[in-house]
Amino acid sequence: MNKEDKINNLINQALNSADGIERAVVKPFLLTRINARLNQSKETIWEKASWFIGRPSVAFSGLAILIFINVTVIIFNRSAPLPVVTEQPAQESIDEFSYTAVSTIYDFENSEPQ
Amino acid sequence: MNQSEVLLNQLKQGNHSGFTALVDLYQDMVYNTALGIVQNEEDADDVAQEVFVQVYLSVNTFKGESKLSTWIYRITITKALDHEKKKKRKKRFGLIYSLFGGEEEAHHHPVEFDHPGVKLEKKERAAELFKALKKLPEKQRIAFTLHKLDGQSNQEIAEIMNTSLYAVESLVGRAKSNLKKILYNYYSEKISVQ
Repeated sequence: MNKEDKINNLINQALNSADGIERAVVKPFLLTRINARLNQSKETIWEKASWFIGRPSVAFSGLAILIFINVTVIIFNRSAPLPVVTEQPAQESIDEFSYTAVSTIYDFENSEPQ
Repeated sequence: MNQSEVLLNQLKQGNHSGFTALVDLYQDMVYNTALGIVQNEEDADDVAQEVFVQVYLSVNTFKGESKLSTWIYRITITKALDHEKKKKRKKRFGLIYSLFGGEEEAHHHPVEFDHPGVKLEKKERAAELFKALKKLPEKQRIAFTLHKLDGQSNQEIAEIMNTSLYAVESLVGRAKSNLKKILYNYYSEKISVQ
């Protein structure tokens, strides 16, 4: 048998080696392992969250952001001019109306005992 | 209503005994498909666990447009390929780590895969076939594995891979032709060394 024939023979043997392959058997207690993993995945969401928040870099960054926001708000409020209060005629007229209405009722109620 | 649909309904209603029955019914299929792809018994067991966790968590997203087995096959293939990629990344990282004086490396060297279902007289050739399979492009490898190891029909493979029958026939054909080339190079090198 020459080299080429030998190689071709080996190739055919390799390609046919999977013929009639039997199913591999699953290790026992797969369901137990799956259930354990399911429980683990439920726990890890909180574990990961607490681990993430508890990291010094995250904690310090969060604190720095909070301080920055507070300082910005304070500086902005100090430097901004105080709002000028102007009288609004429309609002006033409503107030007058309500005042009038109340006093009218009051007068009406007070007039009863007479 | 067939057995799969009954199990599916039980599972969607949060019935845990339905999940137990589903694992019992599909564990063999999931494990063997994963084993064909990852070529390692421990890894295949890991993948099988991941698949069933995924099935349990996402059963409500399954709309029933395909067969339950097809859906589980798809999850298995995705998880097995992800597992393989993760392992490769770890291996690469281990190599870099060892270059910088780390100790973690040695146990990552690939060993020849000995499929427990292969007959004793075919073990050596089968190990060479599995090694060659690893060198195939992903789609060809999946098509060939489902065809040869799982014994699926081309029509079923087309459904699992969400492609046409013609594409599957082409993938299996190209996989065989590429395997022949890979094995030819391997054996010619082996014979010339002897």
